[in-house]
Amino acid sequence: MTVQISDETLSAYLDGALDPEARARISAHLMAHPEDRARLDAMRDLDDQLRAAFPLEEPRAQTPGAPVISLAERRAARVPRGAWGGLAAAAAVAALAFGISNFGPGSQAEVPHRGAGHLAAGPVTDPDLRTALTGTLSGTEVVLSSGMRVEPVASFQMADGQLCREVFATAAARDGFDHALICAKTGGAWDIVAVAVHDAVEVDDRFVPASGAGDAALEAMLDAMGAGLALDPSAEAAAIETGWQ
Amino acid sequence: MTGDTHIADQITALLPRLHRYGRAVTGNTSDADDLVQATCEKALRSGGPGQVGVRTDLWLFRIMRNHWLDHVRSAAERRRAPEDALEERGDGGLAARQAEDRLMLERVRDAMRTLKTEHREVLALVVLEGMSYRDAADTLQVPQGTVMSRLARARTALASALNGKDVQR
Repeated sequence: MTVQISDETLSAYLDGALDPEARARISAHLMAHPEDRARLDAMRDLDDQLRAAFPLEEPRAQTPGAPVISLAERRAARVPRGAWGGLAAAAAVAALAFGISNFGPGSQAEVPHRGAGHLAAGPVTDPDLRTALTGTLSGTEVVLSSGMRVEPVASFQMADGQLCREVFATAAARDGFDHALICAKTGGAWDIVAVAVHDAVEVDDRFVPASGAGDAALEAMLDAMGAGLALDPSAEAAAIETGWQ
Repeated sequence: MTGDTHIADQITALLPRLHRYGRAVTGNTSDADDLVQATCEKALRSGGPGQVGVRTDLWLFRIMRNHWLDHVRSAAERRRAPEDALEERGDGGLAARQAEDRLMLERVRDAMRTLKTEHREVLALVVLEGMSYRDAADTLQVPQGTVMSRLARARTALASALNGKDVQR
């Protein structure tokens, strides 16, 4: 006796959506009918291809590895997508709606937050730091008279034209470091808008930075502000000329 | 605000899934971005699923789907925007794959774009999301039997869209 199995039944069998009785019946049928097994295999292959074609994007918060390197790569790969592009921006909608301190369980982008290198959200008061922000190309480390080491890693123009710099700051390796977004105000003033704190963890007698959960919030802030591509060195030089106005 | 915070956290955790659904249904990244953003805003404004026992993920997929049907689809389909090249950027594993595989995946996405909306959404919910027929029926607001028949037709349509472009498969 030949039983014709419909695409619908086979499809439901593949999805485990048949009741136990029907399922057993189809299983038995498939044993005896290689041509229907082939149909089932083709369906399963198709599903596999579809899943491969639509992977889940990795949440940016899970970007692993050494922060300095991975951030530099991310900067390089950064693509402007408008003021509200992307996953992180949608996360920012969620975060901003309830205050960024509710961003998530390990979020460290609360404002204000006292960081490892003692950066806190709000106006930059240390004149040394202001000078470093205004006059230093990204990729150059500056040691301030306070002992803090500061390195701008990238600069961005926001959707409204404001220029902001992404900065790492640390006092000592054992303190970890602050990862901050600092935006230029008029008259040479700077405003720290977000800080992600990377605590240090001791590994094999060395202090290495732990991954900072706040990085994702900082990234979301960049997206929310409509950051474009990182400025290239000549654009940064021009910004230094004009005092980041 | 505890309840609201909870929802914001849940939405944040679900963003990758929502975005994948958006890409599968709209056919391109920027429409998916818009759709996810609108869904988040709508969800946050409404304050939560409302009824006790409604799963947040199903609730969000339903908001997203309804928004797509109500507001976005007609405009997006008129535009028929080709997949932007930026798509590749987010797909971490893709760069390392063989060019042939990449071509294959692009062909699958192309084939997906040729399907009817009702076929794309049922494939996205059951095959990509792994939803049961019951949950998919709940999300799409149709009977389970409709999910079953629609899905079978969607698989057939996807297979022929793929085969139509490459006789070797």
